[in-house]
Amino acid sequence: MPGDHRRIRGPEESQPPQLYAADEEEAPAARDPTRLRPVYARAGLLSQAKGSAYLEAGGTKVLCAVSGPRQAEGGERGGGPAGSGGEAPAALRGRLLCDFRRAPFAGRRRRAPPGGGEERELALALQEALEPAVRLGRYPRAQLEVSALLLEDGGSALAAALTAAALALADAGVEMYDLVVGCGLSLAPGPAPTWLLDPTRLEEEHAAAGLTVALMPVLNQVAGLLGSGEGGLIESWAEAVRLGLEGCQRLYPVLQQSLVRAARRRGAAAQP
Amino acid sequence: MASVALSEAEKVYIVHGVQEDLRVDGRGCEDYRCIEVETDVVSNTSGSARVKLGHTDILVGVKAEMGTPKLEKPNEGYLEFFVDCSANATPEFEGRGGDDLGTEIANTLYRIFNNKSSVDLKTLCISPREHCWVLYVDVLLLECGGNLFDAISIAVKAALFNTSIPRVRVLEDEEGSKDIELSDDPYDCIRLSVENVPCIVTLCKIGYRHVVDATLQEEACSLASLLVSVTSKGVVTCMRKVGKGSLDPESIFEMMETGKRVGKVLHASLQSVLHKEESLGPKRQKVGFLG
Repeated sequence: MPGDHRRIRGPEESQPPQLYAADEEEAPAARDPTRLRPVYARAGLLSQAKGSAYLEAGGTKVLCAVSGPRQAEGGERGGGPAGSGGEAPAALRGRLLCDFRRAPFAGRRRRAPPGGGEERELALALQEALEPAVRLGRYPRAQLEVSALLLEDGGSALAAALTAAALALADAGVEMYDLVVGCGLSLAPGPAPTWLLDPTRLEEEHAAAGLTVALMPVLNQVAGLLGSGEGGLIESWAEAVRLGLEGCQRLYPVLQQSLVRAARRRGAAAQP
Repeated sequence: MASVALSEAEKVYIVHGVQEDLRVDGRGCEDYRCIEVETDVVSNTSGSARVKLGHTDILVGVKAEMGTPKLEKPNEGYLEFFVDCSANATPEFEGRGGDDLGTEIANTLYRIFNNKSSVDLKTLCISPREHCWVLYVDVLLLECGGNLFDAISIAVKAALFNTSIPRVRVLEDEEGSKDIELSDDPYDCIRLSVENVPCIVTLCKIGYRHVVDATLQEEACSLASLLVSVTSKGVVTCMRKVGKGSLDPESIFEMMETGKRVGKVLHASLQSVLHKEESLGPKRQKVGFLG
């Protein structure tokens, strides 16, 4: 029976009980700073999307879907000079629209769906990292929509979303120069701060700084970089970037295999 | 950002010039344009600053208001950023056009201040869990001439330097009811220490080299830029790649080194200008918007 919401009003705002819990801070366990959590990647699982991918790394679960290319909305843009290699002129290049969403139950506190600034920022980071890899010049006047949904945040969520989005684009058959692989890092505070590769959520919460790197492994080009916090001097950040790039290279074979498996599955399904 | 139409020949001219460390206006790759900073330009704010960097014009106003501290941090105040891209800056910002850019800049500002050392938030606390100072930093983009992030961060640092927050005391009655008392002396106020406030240095990759403080034309020739937020001591608080191109790992390391070098020089000159302006006292000539 529906409750009487008009006369019995619940509180306007609610907080989780953990905020008032006694401070028993569990410190994250010490571990090898270069270990990557085992990754499960599967492409081509959604029937309604042109391309899709699901990525699970430790506790982080991301689902990404790609649709398009469809006709771009938006007004005219001024003409520009033609690019090289038979690609469309600058004004007619395709567009990549990225959307990053966090499920309300993804983190420790419930966050209602219009997540505000943080989701817009991560969606922009997704777009800036994927654009170098996609041959948008081959899709004139079209737009590709990539939407990433974070089901559970177990640490390095943006990196997982980047990798899943690139897999989904490849699964959709979009022309790309290379896959984009993302890797997260965090700086464990303390007397000797060390950068940890692929942090868990607990390590991220206790971290002094965080960094996400996106690499195109075969071309060895950095497609995206986003980091903030008290990371210390430039040398420390440079070391973190190197560690992240190495982690991305190690992740690449897993993604290649998942795409091959997806293609085989599609081939087997096509033959009745 | 505002777009500018460049022909292929102009782009090639700019790229070739940058290879030789000579830009269109005669600067070297690591030189800033002439920066004009003026504080205390708006009278209704707790602090304000105006920065002109070439054709880029930014106005920042800081208002201090009393609010409740956040639940996770009961002993600290906080900062709220809002960036408004005015339609005067470029016709593309008319209506809702400038909102995307405004949110992007505001999110970057949140990111660079998102650590314990930039601003000492504990000085903004009035009484734990109940009252604290909230600093609303509002950035107004008056004219867009390239290199927005750098100019905005310089203006925010100058405005925070200029901010004076009135001293407030919380008096407790015998019954336990709290009363807030504002000090009678209008000059009795808290000033913030901006020693560790970072400034953003944007390095645009053009051809094989990178340039600091790109104009609109140079930004049109560059596919990717690296945004580094650096404090006066050389500590980096934020790093971000901007743009739709990709960067070579080696050039990222070079750009980071340049950013640190240029950032230190920028901080030193900004500090000296701000201190000099302050030392002139109330008798200094205000230029405002007429000069």
